[in-house]
Order: sequence, then structure tokens, then C-alpha cells
Amino acid sequence: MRKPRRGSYWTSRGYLLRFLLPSMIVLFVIVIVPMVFLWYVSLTNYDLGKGWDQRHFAGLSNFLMLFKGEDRDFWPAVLTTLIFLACTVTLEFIIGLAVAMLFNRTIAGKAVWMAFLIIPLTITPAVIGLMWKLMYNTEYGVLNFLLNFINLKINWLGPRSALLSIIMVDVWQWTPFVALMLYAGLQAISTEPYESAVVDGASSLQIFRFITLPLLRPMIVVAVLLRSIDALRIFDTVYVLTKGGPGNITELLSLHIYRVGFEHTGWIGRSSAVAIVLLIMATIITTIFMRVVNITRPAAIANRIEENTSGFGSAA
Amino acid sequence: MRRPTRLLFILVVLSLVVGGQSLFAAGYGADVEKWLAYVRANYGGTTVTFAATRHPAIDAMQAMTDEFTQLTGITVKYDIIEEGYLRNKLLIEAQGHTGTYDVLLLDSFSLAEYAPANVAADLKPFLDNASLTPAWYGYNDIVTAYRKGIGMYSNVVYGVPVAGETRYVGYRTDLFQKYGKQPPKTMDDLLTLAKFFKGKEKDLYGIAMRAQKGIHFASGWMTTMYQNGGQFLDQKTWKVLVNSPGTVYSLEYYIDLLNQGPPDISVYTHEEAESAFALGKTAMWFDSTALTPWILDTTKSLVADKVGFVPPPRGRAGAYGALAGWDVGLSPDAKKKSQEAGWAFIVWMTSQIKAKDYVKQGGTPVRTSVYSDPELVKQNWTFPIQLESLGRAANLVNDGILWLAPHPKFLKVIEVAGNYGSQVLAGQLQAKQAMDLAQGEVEKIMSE
Repeated sequence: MRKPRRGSYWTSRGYLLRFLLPSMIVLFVIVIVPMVFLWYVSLTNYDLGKGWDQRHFAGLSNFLMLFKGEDRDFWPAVLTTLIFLACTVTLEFIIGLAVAMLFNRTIAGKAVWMAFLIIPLTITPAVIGLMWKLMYNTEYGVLNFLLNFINLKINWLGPRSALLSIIMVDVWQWTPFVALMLYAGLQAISTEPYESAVVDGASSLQIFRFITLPLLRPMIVVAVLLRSIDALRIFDTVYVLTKGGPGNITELLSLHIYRVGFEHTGWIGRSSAVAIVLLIMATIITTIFMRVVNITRPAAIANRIEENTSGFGSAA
Repeated sequence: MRRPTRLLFILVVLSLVVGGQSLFAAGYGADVEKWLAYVRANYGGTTVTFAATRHPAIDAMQAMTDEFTQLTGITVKYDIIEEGYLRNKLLIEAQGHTGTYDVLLLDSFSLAEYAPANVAADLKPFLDNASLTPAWYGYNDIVTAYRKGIGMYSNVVYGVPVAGETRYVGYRTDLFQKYGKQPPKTMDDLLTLAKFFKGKEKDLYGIAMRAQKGIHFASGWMTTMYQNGGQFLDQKTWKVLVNSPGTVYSLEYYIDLLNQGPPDISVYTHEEAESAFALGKTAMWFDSTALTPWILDTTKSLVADKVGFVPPPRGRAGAYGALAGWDVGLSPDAKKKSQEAGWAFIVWMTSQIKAKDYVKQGGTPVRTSVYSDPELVKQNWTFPIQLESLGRAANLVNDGILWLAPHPKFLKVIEVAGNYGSQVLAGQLQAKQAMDLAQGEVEKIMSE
């Protein structure tokens, strides 16, 4: 080792590495090893019923089978997943932003309201599924009981409404998450741009559009990104509610992976291939999203605000 | 201590000891005591882990466990897992040889899969071990159809039946009386009655059955399939009969029947079907005899006092009934001591002497002695009807068909069939179209 200058030993690579090593090892075992296993298994025809020793190398046949349409439920599952993604993220963003803005003022008992908001986030997804399945029951569920007073009866988990119903449950559970993130973002914005905007005579809609939204952009990006990734991975709640049914109406890709690999058919090789497709889809979606949003340094945001607000008060 | 007090003290202690002994020996003869002593000596203090699911049989066993622990010193830890997960868990644990569980609840549905995967141990050595399995156990008292049909696969004993079941029809006596209807004798009657009652009164539907995508749909379908002349696989040649006219007809019949049920029947498992019937939402119910205790439970069911049962109606192909059930078995990967302690647990819970207690706690009868016991028959008026339904299950076996085809791929086949059936129910496919597609997939599975 080089003769240590004062302070350089404590920041030297070797020393820091020793601290990082334990978590690197854990991360490797938990993340990298299963990932490599997944890639490997997707190239075999491993069948849970037949056992590990009976597997054969199958090349890309698992993937080709999906794209050639031999798996009839694959493309419907992709479409359902994309619809689910678009609806949940959009609804959660809009409602979450509204809730965050409502919280961004002095309210009596704000802490209590925030506690209510957090409750859905703390419940296990499977329990949420069971809860909602009971509520959605057409005969003895709470929702239809209440709707009965206005002579309405909705078949929540029937072929026409099942997808909407699972979207509703996801929005119910995760909107508070988006709301809290955006609330934190709103709290972090300084009051100066607002003060100067008011002085310049901007309307509240202009303030919202040209000051709040741009300054909130980093938080919005994070919230939407996290929700998108989660929406692609959702499993427990939907499985408990409908198991992917009726038919294949609520069979998201995650459920398709589970059904092909574990629900009696035991085709782990095939389901690993679908899992990799889902992974690639998630990567593409998030990459596109990051490009579109093109989040940059705070200075650039400030410049943009400057440009946007320069017209205030000139529309006399 | 002064003399009178000391004498009193001795008398009190003596009477407690003697009283305690008689408490233990209450109702159990000398040979039972001998076995209990043997088990206490060799396995006292062991913990047995039992992988199970929610079922009246398990409710009954749990109610009897405290006494068992008191008598033998063996603690039992129950791990209640959802049915679908249980099967996966057992398969994965067996693959990894983890030995996490000692005693297993085995679905007869899955024995064909469990056997090649070594999920359950061969129980013959345990049954033949005279010190572990005493004479009073009464293995041959268990109904033959259950012993051979549910507990064995390929002539190997994998489990002791704890819940044999067939399927029969429950109906609302008050509604039938009101509209002057007779309970269904044929499958056509069943459909006609279901159509009649649907919407007859506010929030009333014809029938409750299982229809959730996948194996639940297949299970419900199979309840009506064989009588209607359908079959998935020819059980002699293993030819795939998924799109045969009989099977397509049975699917169309089942879809028609399901459409007379509650609107969200497409997500019903046996739990929702039983709840719907027990809450008075449907006029009829066609499902497992093992769920009868839940329907007749006055604390949970609103129809307990106005329900009647009839054996599975006769169809165009014959008067057939289902035969399925649950066994308890042992894991081959468990440590020897826990495994033997687990066997002691099984012996106690499923023995002839505890059978009455078991049934009184809500367990399902599997023994001839139980079905013919006058006291129990008086309490459980459904027993003769269940016995008659078992007779119809025997009809199927006598005609050379097992309700669950004894093929390792059978579960894959019914999963695929149930998947397509669900799509027909959702209106995404026509029955013939769906079965043609399923035929292709199943043929591929069978040829793998």
C-alpha cells in the first residue's frame, strides 16, 4: 500500500470495500443468483412435476412459443397488463395530486387524516384481496348492500367489470402512497416563486401549471416510476380476487407466469420465459418514460419557470 | 404437622393421585393405556408439525389435540395453508428434502402428482409395526372405497383417509314446499329446477356451485360431467376425450347450470358456493358432503333448519357420484423420531375408538362403524343420504372409471380444461370451440 497521506487511508478503496462487502454479498445472493437462474431455466424445459434431473436444454423455444401464439393467453395478458398499468398509474397520479394539494395547507387534525391515509398501505396485499372479495360479492357484499338502497346491483367480479374492480382496489391501496410523496414534494417547494407570481398577477391555474408542476416534477417522476413498476408486478391482490378470471379477463402477466409455472401445469421453463418478457417490458417502459420526462438540473427548471412566468401581468 | 392434619394431608394427596389416574383412564381400556404409555415413553416432548388446510376435518382434529398432548406429551403445531398453496408447498418441500413438515394433509386430487415426486411416505411399514399401530386402531374398519380409492395410489398406501367425500345436492325444503316442487332425481330435473328458482323471489338464485378459473371450475364441472356422459381421458387407453360430444355436452350443461346461479359465480370456490347457499341466496347447492357440518351449523348458517339432501341425480350416462377426499400422511424427509411421533398422532386421531369424538367435533365419517352407529346416525340425519351417494360413487368405480383418473398428468389436464371452461363461462369462447382448443393442448401434454 502507498504511504498513507493524512486522511487518504480512511477513504481508500480497500477500506471502503470492506464495509460494502457484506451487503454486496447479500445483494448478490438475493438478486443476482436468482436472476441468473431465471435466465438459465427459461432456456430449459424444466417441469415441476418431472423434477430437476429431467430437464433438457430447449434453447429459445419457450420464447418462440410465446411470440408465435402457441400460448393463447400470452398476448391478452400483455394487453391486460398495459391497460391495468395505464389506468392505475393515471388515476393514482390525478387523485394523489389532488389529495396532496388538499393537504398542503393548515388543516385541523392533519396528523389524524394522514394516519387514515396510510392505513391501506400497511395492510398485506393478500388480506386486501380477501377483504375486497367479500365486499365485491354480489349477494352478501357491503358494496351491493349499500347500492341496494338506490336499487342498483353491480356484478363487480363478473366478465364486464372484473378489470375495473381490480383497478379500483389498486387505486384504493396505492393512491395514498402517491399522495404522500407529492405532499412531501409540495412541502419542499420554497414560497419565493409563488410570492413573485402573485405580485406579477398570475391566476391560480397559471401558478399551478407554470410553477407547481415543474417544481414538483422530480417527485412526480419518482412516484409515477415506482407505481409503474409496482403495477407491472402486482400479484397477490388480483390472485385472491379473481385468480385471473373470469376467463382471462384479469389475467395479468404476473398471474400468467404463476399459472403456467405453478398452477398444476408446472411448466417452470415456459413461465420463466414469460417472466423475462415481463422484465424486458418493464425496462422498456421505464426507459421510455425517463427519456420523455427528461428530468434535468434544478437550474434548468428555474430557467424554464423564468421563461414561463415572464408573460404574467402583460395580458392587460 | 399434628397427627390428624398429616393424615388428612396424606388422604388428600392420595385421592388426587388416584383421581388423576382415573381421569386419564376415563373410557380408555388397558390396551389403549399400554399404547399411550409406550408413546409417552418414546416420543413424549417431541413436536410434530402438521401441514394442513382449512377443513372441518382439521377443525375436529384441532379440537382433539389438547387431549392428545395431555396423554402423550407430543405437541402438535398446525400450519394452515390455503388449498392451492398447500399443494405447491408440499411439492417444493419434497424437492428440497427440507423435512419441514412431519404430518401432511394430502388431497386425493393430487396423489397422482405426489407419488412420483415422493411427497408422502409409504405407510405400510408403520401400519405393520405392532407397537406403533395397535390392534384397536381398526384400519380395515375404514370404508373400503375410501381406503383403496383415496388413500392409495398405484397400490401404495400414502395416506389414511380423514375426509372422504362424495358430492350431493342440498336443497331448501321451505322453498320446494312453497312451490310444490320435488327434489331433483335426474340431471334434467336439476337444470329445470335451477331455472325455475332463479329470480323466483328477490335475490334468489337457482344453484350455487364452483366455477373459479382453473381447478375449481374443473372440480365443479366433474361433479356433473360423468353422469352427463363426459370424460377427459379414456381411463383404459388414455386417449384424450376432451372434445368428444359427451364432454362438450357436459360443458354446455354445466355452463347453463352456472348461469342459473349468482351473477359472480365465475369467481366462486367451494367456500363462496357454500356461503351463498347457507345464507339463503340459492335454492340448491351441489357440492361436497364434507361441507355438510358448515351448512347445518346453526351459528353460521341461516338455512340449517330448512335444508334437505338428495344423492347426485341420475344423468344420461348413469347414476354416478364423485369420490375424493383428504388423507393424512407422513413426510419421508422428516426426522425419524418426529415421523414416528407423527404416526402416533395419526393413529390416535383416525382410530376407531376416537372416531365418534372426531365426528362429533365436525369431522367427516370415513368408517363403516361410524356410518352405522345408531347414536351418530340419530345426530347426523344426513348419514344415510351420504351412504347412498357413496353407493353412486361406487357405481362409477364398478363401471371402470375412477372419478380422478389415476394418471400423473391428470391435474394438468383438468387445469387446462378448467381454464377453457372459465373462458366459455365468461362468454369469450363457445363450448365446442374451447374444447377443440383444449383438445390440442391436452394431447400435447399427454404426449410430452
